[in-house]
Amino acid sequence: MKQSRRDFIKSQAVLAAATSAGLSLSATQLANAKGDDVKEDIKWDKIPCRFCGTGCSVLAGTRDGRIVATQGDPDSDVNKGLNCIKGYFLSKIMYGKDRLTSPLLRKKEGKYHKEGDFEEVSWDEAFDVMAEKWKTAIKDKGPSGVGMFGSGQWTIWEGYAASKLMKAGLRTNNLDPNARHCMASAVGGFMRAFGIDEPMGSYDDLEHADAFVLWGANMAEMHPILWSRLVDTRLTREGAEVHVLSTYTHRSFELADNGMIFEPQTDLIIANYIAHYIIQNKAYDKQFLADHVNIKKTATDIGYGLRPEHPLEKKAKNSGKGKLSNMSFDEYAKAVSKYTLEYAAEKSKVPADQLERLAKIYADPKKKVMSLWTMGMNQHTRGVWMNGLVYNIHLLMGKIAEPGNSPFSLTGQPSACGTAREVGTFAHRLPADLVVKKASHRKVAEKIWKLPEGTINPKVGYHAVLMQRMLKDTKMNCYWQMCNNNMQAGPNVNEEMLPAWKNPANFITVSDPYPTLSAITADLILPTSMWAEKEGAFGNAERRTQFWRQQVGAPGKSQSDLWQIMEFAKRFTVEEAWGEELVAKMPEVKGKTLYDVLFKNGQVNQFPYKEGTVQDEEKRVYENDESKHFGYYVQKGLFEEYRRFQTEGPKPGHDQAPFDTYHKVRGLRWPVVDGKETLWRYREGYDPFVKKLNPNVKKGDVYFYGKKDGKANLIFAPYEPPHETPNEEYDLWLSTGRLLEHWHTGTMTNRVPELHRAAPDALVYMNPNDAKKRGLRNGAKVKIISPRGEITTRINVRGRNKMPEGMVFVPFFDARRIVNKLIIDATDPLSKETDYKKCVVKIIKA
Amino acid sequence: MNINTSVKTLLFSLGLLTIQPNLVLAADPVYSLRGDIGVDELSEMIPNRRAMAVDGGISVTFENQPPLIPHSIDKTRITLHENSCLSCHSKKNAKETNAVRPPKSHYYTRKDSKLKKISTGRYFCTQCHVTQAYTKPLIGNDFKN
Repeated sequence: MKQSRRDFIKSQAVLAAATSAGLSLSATQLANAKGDDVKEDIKWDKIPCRFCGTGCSVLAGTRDGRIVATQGDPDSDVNKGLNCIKGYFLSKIMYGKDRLTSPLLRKKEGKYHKEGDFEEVSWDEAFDVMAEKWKTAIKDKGPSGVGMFGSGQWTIWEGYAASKLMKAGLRTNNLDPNARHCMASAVGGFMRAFGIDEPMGSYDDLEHADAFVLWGANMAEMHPILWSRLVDTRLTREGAEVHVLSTYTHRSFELADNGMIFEPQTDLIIANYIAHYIIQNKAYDKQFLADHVNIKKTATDIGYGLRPEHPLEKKAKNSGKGKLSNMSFDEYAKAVSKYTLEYAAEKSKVPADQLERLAKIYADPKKKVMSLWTMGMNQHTRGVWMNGLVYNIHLLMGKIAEPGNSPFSLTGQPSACGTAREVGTFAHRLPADLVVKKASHRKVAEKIWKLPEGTINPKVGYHAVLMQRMLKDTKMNCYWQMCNNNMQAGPNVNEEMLPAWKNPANFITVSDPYPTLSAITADLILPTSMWAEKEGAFGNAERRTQFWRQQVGAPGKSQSDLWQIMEFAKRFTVEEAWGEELVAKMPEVKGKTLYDVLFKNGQVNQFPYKEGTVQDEEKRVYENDESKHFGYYVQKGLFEEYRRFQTEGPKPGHDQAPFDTYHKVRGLRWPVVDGKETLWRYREGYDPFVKKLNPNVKKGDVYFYGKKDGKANLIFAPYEPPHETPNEEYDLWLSTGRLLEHWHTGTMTNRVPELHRAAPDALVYMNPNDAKKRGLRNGAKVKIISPRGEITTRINVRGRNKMPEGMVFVPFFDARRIVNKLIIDATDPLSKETDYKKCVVKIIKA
Repeated sequence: MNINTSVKTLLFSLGLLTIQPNLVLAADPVYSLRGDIGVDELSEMIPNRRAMAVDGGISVTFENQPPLIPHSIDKTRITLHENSCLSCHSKKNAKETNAVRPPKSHYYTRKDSKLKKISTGRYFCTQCHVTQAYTKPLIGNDFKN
């Protein structure tokens, strides 16, 4: 059965040719498919997909320095040769005609000018101007005068290098990833309940569960390959069922045995009702609770993450507070007893029998349940609470950390886990779950990074939304955005983002392969190598770390984010960045640059590189532009230094394999111990750390070693109302999100003709009655207006998303219709993640 | 360091000026996918779209590309209980309808066992196969197979 990769490719092509009668396949394609060696010069190599957090592996075919084809990787456990429509078209994402090929600086009369037009400049000039601006800002405002907005699409070493540059080099924690917009609530939920980030289970749960519950995740469109695995189980396993919760009907409902539309924000009520049902029916696992769980409650009335002067924040008693206090089981039982079936049905508008059916699945000790969620739960002003409420249900039943019983937070970006979370590119974090505010954690980082004591700033930096406010208020003056398109993806574009970037006091740099809305709004654009144009590593949602080799070169003067970060570090002397006082603590660094102390530190530069260093198992040689430029194996040095945080830090259970291993495998799920990956954490027999950290553990028992006493937190949180609700003037809810064919702001997918034609425009999906009430028909031109801005588009009343009355949906991939002009910058006060799923709008004929 | 760097930069730019004067003097405007419409402006209204109908199918552009759907699927339903794509495209029905049949790759389980019926892991056809609207690309693409 085992085929070689080449055989597979050929046989697949033969099949495709044989079955696509009527389709025109070129002669060369047919010849190649038949096994002629016409195209034997195509080199195939593995590479993870560039899009979502699923982490499919693809085979990229290169010839003459270009990607000429991509296809699903049959050797990958994640996707077994299958791709979604976006994944199949990866071959085209780097070849949009408008690739940027030179740094571009706004200039007037030969000099930088904020109101000038973009002119091509050298890298030297670009970094000269940028460094001068950064140094001025640091002089004026201290380290908090500058900031960087990174990405869950950065490679692991790019995130790691950025973290070093900002936190160790420039001594500011003003570094945040765009994962703040997507995963921060999930992180908050994990840390509060388990003390270690990321799911305990793995995708293997998709083949082990009896029931699946989607809590605000449209997997059919956003995680199609995981969906195909779930569908496979539903359609082949006796008694398997699928429950889908959402605020509108989407494609995942096509498979639902129990599809439920709830009123926005009432998911808090539904989750508490399920807990109440379990307790009322005495279905909970007493022993599990006694052995493995602490019961807590969280501070309430915490506001909505708005500006402090906003009336809602002034009104909130505990604005931004996440304090936990102890609670007895009886107190907890009493707290949830308010959430009866009748109350839940009334508030959520989900029929009572459907809610009860859902509760029964969780309460049945014989049913293995996998709960899955993404943005519906995370982009929520009570996102951290909501993540916790789902863990509560699993903890009550002891349905956790074993095959099929799995609360599973999915991710939206290819390395939201691997880079944004694990490497610690958040404003409060350091690598391997360490945090800047703890002196002992800073000390570990300073030791590994060979820095004088006291280098790392203990003050938590500005998060994504706060950065925009600080730019607008002239408290931060320099901002470098990499590997994302915040001007289209960030909230409240009109009131916060645009004025922040256009503030004459500020200097905005955007690194991107394409002229995105962010790029054209910036002062300096840096052309960036992408995906197969560099050696990389991503970490997917199931803790799987996957590497790839550089397949092709980048156009023009493009350079990778890694190159840019390391080169920019050369622009600062330690005296400029650290001040004389700190330098005096380590006199040997006097006169050196940040590049010298951060990267040429005897660790990052310890692995030699020469032409031919990077080879695959068939001895074929690959380029590595950064290593060639800097003169050592940069990626390996960074990764090996980063790995020390996993073993030398105070937080166990993060171990990854050595660098070279990952180039040989289709990824491994951490913790990796003695070359073996871990599919289920916290359970004896699956996770080697359980026995190591708790030698007395019983066979097959659980030990939540992320918390000091080995117990997880069950955290009660009540229902609290949303930040906005439709009113007489703005009478509709608006939710935004993605579609299958496009990814995020469409920077890549809008440039693939087939994907563009598959979904050309962001339409507003609307209930037919709502349309009729406004005298509108399907396809009518409309204006959507919120208190913050307006956009125009056409309405769709019978498309893939079927809206309940009172709610509309507009996707955000379309650069021509900036739906985030309408969205309010209200965040979860704990995670600081924006609620993109509910704000108020009205719709009129355009 | 500052003086040296700026002199270097100046010389470099002068060098550039003499070799390629156009580069600096006549910069092309940089457009996003909004064209010349600013981020702060309202964009133009879009036309109503129609799905392409192409006899004989739409050409694939590289090896193993999943074929695009050359007809409208407005009336197509894929649910737990029916898959109306297969009412034309299944192995059995395709003989009569002359529709494209799913290739053999669609008849294996995740664990590589052969199947008589199409794999349930591939049940939702539209995850990989999509229609095309009559419209031009927003921007050209230089991909070559």
